[in-house]
Amino acid sequence: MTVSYRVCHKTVYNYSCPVTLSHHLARLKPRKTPCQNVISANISVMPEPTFEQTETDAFGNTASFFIVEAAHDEMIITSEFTAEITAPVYPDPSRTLSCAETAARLLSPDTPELLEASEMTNPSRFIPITSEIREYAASSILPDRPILEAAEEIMRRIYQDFKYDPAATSIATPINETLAMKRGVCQDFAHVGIACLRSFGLAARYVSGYIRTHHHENNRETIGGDASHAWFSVYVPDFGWVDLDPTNNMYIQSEHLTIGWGRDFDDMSPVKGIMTGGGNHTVKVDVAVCPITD
Amino acid sequence: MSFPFSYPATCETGGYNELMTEDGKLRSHWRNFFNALDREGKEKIFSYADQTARLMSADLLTAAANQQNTHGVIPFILPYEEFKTLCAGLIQRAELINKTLADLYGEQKLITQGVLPPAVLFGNPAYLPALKNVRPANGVFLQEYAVDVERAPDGRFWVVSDKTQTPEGVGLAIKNRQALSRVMPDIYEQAAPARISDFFETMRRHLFDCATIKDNKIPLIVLLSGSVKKKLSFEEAFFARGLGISVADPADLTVRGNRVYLKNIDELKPVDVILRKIDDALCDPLELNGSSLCGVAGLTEVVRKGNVALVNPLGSGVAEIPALKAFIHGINRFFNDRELLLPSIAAWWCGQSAEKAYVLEHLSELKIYDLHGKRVTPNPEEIKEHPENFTAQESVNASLTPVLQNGRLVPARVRLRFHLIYENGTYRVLTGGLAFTQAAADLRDIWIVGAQTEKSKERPAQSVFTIKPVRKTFELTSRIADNMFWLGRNLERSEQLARLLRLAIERLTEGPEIHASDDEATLLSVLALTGYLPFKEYQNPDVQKEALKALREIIVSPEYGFGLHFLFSRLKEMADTLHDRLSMDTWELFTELLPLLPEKNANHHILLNRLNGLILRQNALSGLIREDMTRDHSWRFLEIGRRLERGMQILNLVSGIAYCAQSGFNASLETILEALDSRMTYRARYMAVPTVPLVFDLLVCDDGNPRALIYQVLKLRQNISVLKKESRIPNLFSKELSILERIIPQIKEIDIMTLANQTETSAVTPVFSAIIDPLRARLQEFSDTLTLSCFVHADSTRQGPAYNKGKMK
Repeated sequence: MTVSYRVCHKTVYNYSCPVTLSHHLARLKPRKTPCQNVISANISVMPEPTFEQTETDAFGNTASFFIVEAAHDEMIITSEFTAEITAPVYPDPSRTLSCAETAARLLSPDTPELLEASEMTNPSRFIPITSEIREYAASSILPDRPILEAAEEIMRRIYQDFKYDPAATSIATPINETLAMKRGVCQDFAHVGIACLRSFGLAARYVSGYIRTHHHENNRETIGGDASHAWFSVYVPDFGWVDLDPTNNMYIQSEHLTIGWGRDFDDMSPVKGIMTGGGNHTVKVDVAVCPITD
Repeated sequence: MSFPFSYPATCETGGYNELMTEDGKLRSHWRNFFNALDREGKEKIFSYADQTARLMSADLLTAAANQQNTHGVIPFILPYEEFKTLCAGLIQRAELINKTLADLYGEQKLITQGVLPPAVLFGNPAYLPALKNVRPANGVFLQEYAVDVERAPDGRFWVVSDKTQTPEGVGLAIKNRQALSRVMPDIYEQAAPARISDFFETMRRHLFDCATIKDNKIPLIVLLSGSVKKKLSFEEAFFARGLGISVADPADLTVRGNRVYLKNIDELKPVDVILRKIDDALCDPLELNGSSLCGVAGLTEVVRKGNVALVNPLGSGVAEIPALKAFIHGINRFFNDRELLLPSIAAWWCGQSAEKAYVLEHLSELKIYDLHGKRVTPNPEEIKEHPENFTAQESVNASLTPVLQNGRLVPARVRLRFHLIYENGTYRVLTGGLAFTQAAADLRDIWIVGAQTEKSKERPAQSVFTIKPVRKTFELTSRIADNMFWLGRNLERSEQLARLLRLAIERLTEGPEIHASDDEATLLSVLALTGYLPFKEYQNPDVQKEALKALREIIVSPEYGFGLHFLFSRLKEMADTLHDRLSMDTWELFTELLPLLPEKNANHHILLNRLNGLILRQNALSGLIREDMTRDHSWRFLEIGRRLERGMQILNLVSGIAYCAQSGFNASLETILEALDSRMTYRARYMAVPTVPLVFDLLVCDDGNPRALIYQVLKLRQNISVLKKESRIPNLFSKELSILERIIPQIKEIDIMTLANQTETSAVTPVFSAIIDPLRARLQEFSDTLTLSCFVHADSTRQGPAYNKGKMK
């Protein structure tokens, strides 16, 4: 089954003093995957950049580099795209390779696919590997257990143990603190899941994207008020990557749209910027994910 | 010859004796040195040691305070034959590292072919994925390389450390060579070490070659330093001077479009090559390190497009990952058919279980390094918890070389650093280097002797240090112009303040019978007008006594906004950042001001004494700036700062006349003249008691008085005109110039006789304001305009002295 979506992601920055010069790197354009076909994608920036360049980053994502030289106290970045999603087919978790064998394969990555995966077994800036994480993961990740069963359980446990609480954490909250509070947002949950898997030598990556949200009262799609979403993906030998969403306790189906992936949030932050001037700033994000019905 | 010193043939450590063979004979390559010394008398070595120390410390004084290196008078001498063998090994290693870097940021075959465990690379923060598949501008990943070797007891050299990111040490080696050749020219000539003078030539040629955009112009090369705001290291300053290139702080560079530019006062200049002295991760806050704001935003993107060359290229830091040493033989076999010519120190990466076990068993014999290559105290628990973070390394029982210690020649363990530069498809080793010893003098120069062809017939003092004259290549960046401007303003302000404080304290501590009683009140009122004191009834003796305490605070307290302590600290900071622009003497005078301030509880006598000393030094500084500094653009900004500030100060003092009148007393005109150093001029002109119109005329309108306002404005106009003429941008400085053009008639048209009949109190005020306020506003407008057009894109966060009306504390 294929579903098409139109996504509009608007970010508004307001500064207390004018910004005279700024350099940005935006990761807002969706990437093509076996289950995601990108029909069109466009980013517009106000004030208009003096320079724009599109790059493919080390992980294959599309990164938009731009420079704004006009003095401004408000910047609006609007990303709009249309994509078709096909629900992925997953392997039977009980028949996937064991955790121990998976980890062993990742130690000698002799194919490009394994090489890519082996990079994702290592700690990264936001995902250090700590004894606390290892302890938390130990009951799920058993050497003889099939990898996808283990990963699925990690997802389920995060969903059950952690409370969704936007006030509890920030980008800078260390992973051990999230683990101790058992609170956070999708990013934190993705980070915890990845840390658990990596702490046993398994490969997991951070996926950034969007999820279609349902408005339950009258079954209308919510427009606005939504945000970027994030989940994690685990490497399953002889199959590939399987995306698991610990915030919603689900394998991704046809309601997740993927921007791209990296080692952690730092690699996939939607907009990064270095500003001259600006003073304090506030950010307002507005995301709408609408299925296209015709 | 008999060896003139007593020296052991065998050393307790069992290390190789660099000086003597086992049977106590001097090794032949040391003979020329010691023979020459013997002819002069062996005791000479002690005075040479003193002279060397003095020469070096004088030069290194200017470098960062944490560089406490001392320099030995006895070089490390290495025969050319041995050096040649060593070179082959060093070059092989450099080529190997170059290939390794290309692979690790490219195909990563070393990993897929099982040579290198993935975690060695991917688990190390030195690996920056953003640089994957980013090829350096000319395809060479290692342009410059420094390598440390030690000699084992069997006489073989071992590589112990690789510096691939920002290799350092050449500057110090050349400096040391320079000192030794001056201190003992005859010995130097006899020993005849191979020259290293061509280093800068080679380096400069190499940097030129790195420029990728060849459009028939001279490429712009800058040295990117991370420490400009603190203080340039000796090495950085020496490099920049030797190469004749500008030093840039990351804030001096900006990315526009797909190029990186140097921000100059009049334009953005495209940069072709960056000799960087900062680590990979700190070069670009946008792509390389999200946690730091250091660096040049967007630089990686410019590198990716091949529009700027970095030396060394971004990413060269991964070759410093300690665990790589554990795999060096495998890496070598992967790329080469030959074994390593130069053995590499044994290393174990704890990420492998057998290796971890070995390391834990032999912990006390091994050196342990963390991910960043920092040596750490071994902690078995930590190693067990995160084995992949640690690498152990064996130690070489290093050879011993003679050093002077407590008047004796003694053996000390030595490590040698050599420097390589990429040239024509291979590497060139600098024929010399730096030797580190653990003795009192910890650095020494490496002399390569016995090279047939390289023996120089020229006198060393002339031949070794020919650095080509460099003139107009020093471009003026906005940041430097800005700093010069504020250096000038703060210096002038501190001078004026010191003079006022000295006068005020003198008057307040003398008996009133010596001078007119309105002197104190006048001075204190002027200080209030300048923002240093609250507005009070200063005619009242009790209030005056109170004020004396505040005056002391202004001098000694670091918290007193724009007080002397505050201003001197700022001057020192700025002089440090401008250190390569100021002469040694000038820089030293700037740094001497702060330590000269009196203690918190010094008595009045000491206060005045110190103020006298300070004012003398400030005068000396003014003299040096006037007489000794090259009249280049940076000097002009300093001068503009001084003149502008002096103009502002004159207006403050002159308006003191009105303010005193408003407060109900006649200002002491004598004192005001004295505060502006114009009493003698007044006497010479008028031979009469000062009157308001005449004083006003002398201090504001008299263009023959260097302390008059008009004089400052004319000087400002003169400097701005030169800048305007020499600027390549047509309209730059024309606004500033027109402001000044408007001030001049404004001053000339002042009718001083309107002040003649108003010496009586109160009536004087409105007349004064009508004259002074517009002048003050114009000067402020000038300052603001200049700041906007020349400095603002320098991202300055500095705050200059503000002129508010109240006390600023």
